Amino acid sequence: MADLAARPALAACDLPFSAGAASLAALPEAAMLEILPFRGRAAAVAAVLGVGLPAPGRVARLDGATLAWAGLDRWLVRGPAAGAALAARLDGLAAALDQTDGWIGLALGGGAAREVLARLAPVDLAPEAFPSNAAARTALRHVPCLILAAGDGFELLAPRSCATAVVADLVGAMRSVAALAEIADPRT
Amino acid sequence: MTRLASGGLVDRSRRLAVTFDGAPLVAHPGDTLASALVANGVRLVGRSFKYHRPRGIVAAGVEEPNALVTLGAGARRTPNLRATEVEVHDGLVAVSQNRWPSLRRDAMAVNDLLSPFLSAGFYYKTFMWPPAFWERLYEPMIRAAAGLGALSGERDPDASEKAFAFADLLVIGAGPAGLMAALVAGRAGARVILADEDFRLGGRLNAERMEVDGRPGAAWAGEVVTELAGLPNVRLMPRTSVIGAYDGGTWGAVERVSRHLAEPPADAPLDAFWRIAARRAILATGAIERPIAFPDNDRPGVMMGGAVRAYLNRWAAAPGRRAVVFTNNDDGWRTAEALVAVGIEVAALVDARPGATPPAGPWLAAAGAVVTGTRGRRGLRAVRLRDAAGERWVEADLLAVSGGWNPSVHLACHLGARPVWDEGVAAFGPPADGVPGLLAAGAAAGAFSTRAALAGGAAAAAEALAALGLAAGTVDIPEAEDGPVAVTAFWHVADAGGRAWVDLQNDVTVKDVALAAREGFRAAEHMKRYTTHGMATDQGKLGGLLGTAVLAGLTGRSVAETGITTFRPPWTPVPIAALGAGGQGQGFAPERLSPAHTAIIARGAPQTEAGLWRRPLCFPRPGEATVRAACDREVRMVRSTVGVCDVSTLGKIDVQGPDAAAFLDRVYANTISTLAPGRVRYGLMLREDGFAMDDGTVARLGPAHFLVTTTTAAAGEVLAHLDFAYQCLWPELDVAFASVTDHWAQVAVAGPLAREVVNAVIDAPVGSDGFPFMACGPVSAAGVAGRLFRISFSGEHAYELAVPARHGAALFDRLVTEAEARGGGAYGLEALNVLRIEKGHPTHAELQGRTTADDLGLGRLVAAGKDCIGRGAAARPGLSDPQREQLVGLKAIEAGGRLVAGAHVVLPGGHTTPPNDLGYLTSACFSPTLGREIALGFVRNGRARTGETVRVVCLLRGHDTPAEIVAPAFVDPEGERLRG
Amino acid sequence: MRIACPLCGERDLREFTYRGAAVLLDRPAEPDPVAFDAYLHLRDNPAGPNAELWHHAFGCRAWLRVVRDTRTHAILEVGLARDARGRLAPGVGEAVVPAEGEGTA
Repeated sequence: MADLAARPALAACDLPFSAGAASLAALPEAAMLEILPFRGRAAAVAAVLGVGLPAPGRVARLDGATLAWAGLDRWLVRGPAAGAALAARLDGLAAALDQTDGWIGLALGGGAAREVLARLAPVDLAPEAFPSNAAARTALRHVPCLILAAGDGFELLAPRSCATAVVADLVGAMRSVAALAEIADPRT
Repeated sequence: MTRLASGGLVDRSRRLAVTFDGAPLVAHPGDTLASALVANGVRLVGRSFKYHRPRGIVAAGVEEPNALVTLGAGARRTPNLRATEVEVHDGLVAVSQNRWPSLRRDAMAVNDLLSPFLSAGFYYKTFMWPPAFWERLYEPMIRAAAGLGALSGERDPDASEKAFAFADLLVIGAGPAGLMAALVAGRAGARVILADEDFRLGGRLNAERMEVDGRPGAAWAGEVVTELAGLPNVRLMPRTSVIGAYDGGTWGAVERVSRHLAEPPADAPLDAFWRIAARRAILATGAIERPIAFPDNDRPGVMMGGAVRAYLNRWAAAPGRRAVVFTNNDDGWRTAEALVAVGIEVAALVDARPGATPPAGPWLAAAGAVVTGTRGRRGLRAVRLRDAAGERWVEADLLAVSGGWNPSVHLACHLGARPVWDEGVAAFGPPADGVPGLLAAGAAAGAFSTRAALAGGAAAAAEALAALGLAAGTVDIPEAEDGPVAVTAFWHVADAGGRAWVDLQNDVTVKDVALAAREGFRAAEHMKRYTTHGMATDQGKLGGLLGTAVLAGLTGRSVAETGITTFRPPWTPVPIAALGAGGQGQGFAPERLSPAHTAIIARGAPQTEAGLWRRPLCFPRPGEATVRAACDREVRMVRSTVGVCDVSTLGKIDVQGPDAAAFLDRVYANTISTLAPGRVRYGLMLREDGFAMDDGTVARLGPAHFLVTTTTAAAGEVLAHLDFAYQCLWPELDVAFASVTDHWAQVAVAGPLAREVVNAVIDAPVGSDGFPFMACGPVSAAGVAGRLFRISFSGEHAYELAVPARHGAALFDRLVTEAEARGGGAYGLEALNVLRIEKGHPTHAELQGRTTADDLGLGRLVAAGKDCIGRGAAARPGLSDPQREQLVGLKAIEAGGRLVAGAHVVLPGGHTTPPNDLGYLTSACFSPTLGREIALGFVRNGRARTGETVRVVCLLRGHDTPAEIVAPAFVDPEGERLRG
Repeated sequence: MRIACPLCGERDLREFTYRGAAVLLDRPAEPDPVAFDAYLHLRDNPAGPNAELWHHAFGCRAWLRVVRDTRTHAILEVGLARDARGRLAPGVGEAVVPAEGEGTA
């Protein structure tokens, strides 16, 4: 029996890409589980995960896994542990949906990363408003997304079907911001 | 040449090549096009809108009404730019507007001779007779004469962009008030944005000679800017106009990013439209000087006093050689002093205030005197004065007019508040609470002295910081002049005959205002619309208050009583390309691609849009020249062998939890809780008003686990609907659901050979007994865990196979290969549509928001024993009236008869008129299976009309087709092909 | 306009979808056509505070009950709709804001 070849979501996108002080790359592929605890079961879910569920707007970086708040009553766990075994342990406590192929993951870094996202996302990403453990559900232009603070940069998760649109928008914004940096200092 | 030998904030070491109407100008970095024109002695820059009178530069800022130019060539041609705002660069090419064949000799100047017939509102009283002349003569004539400037008509090659910014404090305007405010707030650690529409920050400090802290104002401004630029919490935004105040602390601003560059970087946007969210804001927008109206006050060479000083001081450009100054306030005297300081002769300093004591100097000083006229059509030559001694002409080529200063309060009024009359400055000041969180400071608040502006800016910043919970720290207010405001309201020289202009750009005179008042248009808003005063691209920045003050005088009211017209965004004109930035192509609607997209494209399928998704229309084979040919072949293929269709784009919502079944019972019209695990059921969702919303399937994967499918384009709507039902109506239910549309690829296999094809791909083959019609369950294909559903949209024996999206393309390829090996192949949306019409399956063509379950023939699906969304309202008697339009099938009686969606169903033998209109068609196609066109539609009392012959009429296409009303299922109505 | 979502913080209007008056929270218990007609179609039109439902569609997907002054667009109250059922008149609302840090929802 022949194989059903797997095609990475970002195969059609020319990544990694850099322009000026910003860089864009695909996150390493990882399993993803969307966890929606049933009524009154959040504590039990946390016990299975071995860690408290992050408050709204927060992400927890664990050993080999990222656990992010992803919306009202839902969390996204990303990493090798986010597989069928974990889903089975959550049976009866939560809906644990395989979303491994549902989202693309991108890493946007560099000193201009914030300026790049300012062209696409209507949220305040300054360090005062978006600290190192912050997560935001918002949109990149018209594509729903999850933005996670990651070191000096960001991790961006967006629906797989919008991959080419999202990457094109980010690349366009990166090119624009790089061009702006070339234009003279505003101290005239 | 009239560039002064020294001074000015221009870089004389570099020369820039600039042309105006083909003539070269010498310009330097720091010049605007206007200052370059002044410095090169160009006095004639335009022709007025209506009368085509010669016009010159009047102002130095955004209020300029006359010097409208067109820049660029070809697709980049941009009209109606104010020369005072154009930052020159090397190679700038500018042309004047509204003249033919040239600026010096304009044919339309004949309008000036016809002016008695062209007064305000003349077009309401003319162009009526003879009626036939309107289309043939008058309209084309008016169209040719109307407007200022012309668009290129070509596609815009430049891109603009949109961006978001956030601040604790937005300071609007970087003059003395704004710079102090930004300094105080910036040093206190607040996140500050300082925006100014100029390319050089400093406001009027750059235009005047007054000192701040013992040094030239411009130098002080430069130092402050340097300090601010070094603060990481301060963002400087020059070339940025804040154009509108919106709710919730939101501000709109347009930044001119690269217009000033001769060769901008390739990826730089032309403009950027910013949405700024600021917790507090300071209005430090300064003030704009207003003119005085007197006869022939529009000639080239008549200029605002403050603008004269700006050209002298900031740009070292002399607007004339011999000047007269006409003023009603002390500030006007400064112009005489500034002119004399650079060696320009001032023949007379005319002060309209009888009790004024103008300073002594090398000029004729006259108090209680007025200017009553001017001479010099293409450039001022003489000014007529009148004082106690009588009238006389004075030779002059420059007349500097100062009528007082109007605080620029517009932004503070954008949310509906009215400005407040300030008697002390004879102008309107900002309303106190016009915009929540906005404070005014400096000239914008009616505090005109330099020291008052500095102190006001600092005080406003301190107040804003306190509201933000930050400490201000001590900041010294620099020393600066603190002269009192001394102005006496004086609007126009009334008793002097001739025409006196109040709106230069739209050619509105005092006589027009008087005419409006006589004809009953006495309210400021009415006068504006009747005369077009204040309606041009400058929106009355110069003459707005002047016009309404004249109206007030003529109607015996105070200016405060008469008021001023409403200020609305945008403050200055905004290119639509900036407002719409990012909204073209994918920015308007992002493309969503199926996981099988690459495999579909590789097979040469033309694409169409379904919602945001791209889907294939068909898969043409060699020799098939039209979509129709491929579609007909694909339909036959599916019904005779097997077809493969990508259905990954349909919405898929995973629903789980102890109350999942109960929840679905409430959102679906039919019963879901009785569905056994491993089975699939058709589901119809209603809106709460009883009309059909969407249909799809529900698969029960386990006792508390369901998978809901939706129409491709309705997935978002359905998910929002489920969110609403759960969170707002039944939050007590224990259920959780999420979209899994993107995670799963799903491919349909349909036709007599469908099972063979599916079994060739999945690891453990299925038989009919183990997998009957409407069964579902887990399967694996090449070791990949997936799901199989035996459901059919085409009416054939069919399956849908789902695998994680990464395998979607490969799965599609495998299935198509297996199908082709058996005489079948891939099929697209066109064939999919024909197949489902042949089976009478409704889609959103039938579920268009005005049809109920009963209309669709699905009334029996609305379960009686349970509540569901829509059940209550669906019980309204009118919604099940038999005379409602009910879903039927229609079949063309003759093989070539045409049926199209949108055609109407009419009684045979009757006129094609509304009383005989029985209904309409919603879906239509050629049916290869029946060899004729068929359709679905809604016909009054349709279910009782089976067998009747009707006419299907489409007046637009000239169709009048006899058709038979039949039951909606044309092919295999018993559904035998589905089972087995 | 900006709305302070209890979960996400203050966000631009573009992230939200407006549904209608908050009376929609009070769905009639019986499938009575007259009651549903009133529920669907009859509305007060106050010049002042108005309770309405907004969906944070491009954010956390929470449905929010928002009290907004129709004259000034000032947002007076924001809370999760699911916590608000049964309280329709504008009043002092408790916005449900979970504690900071790593807590459970």
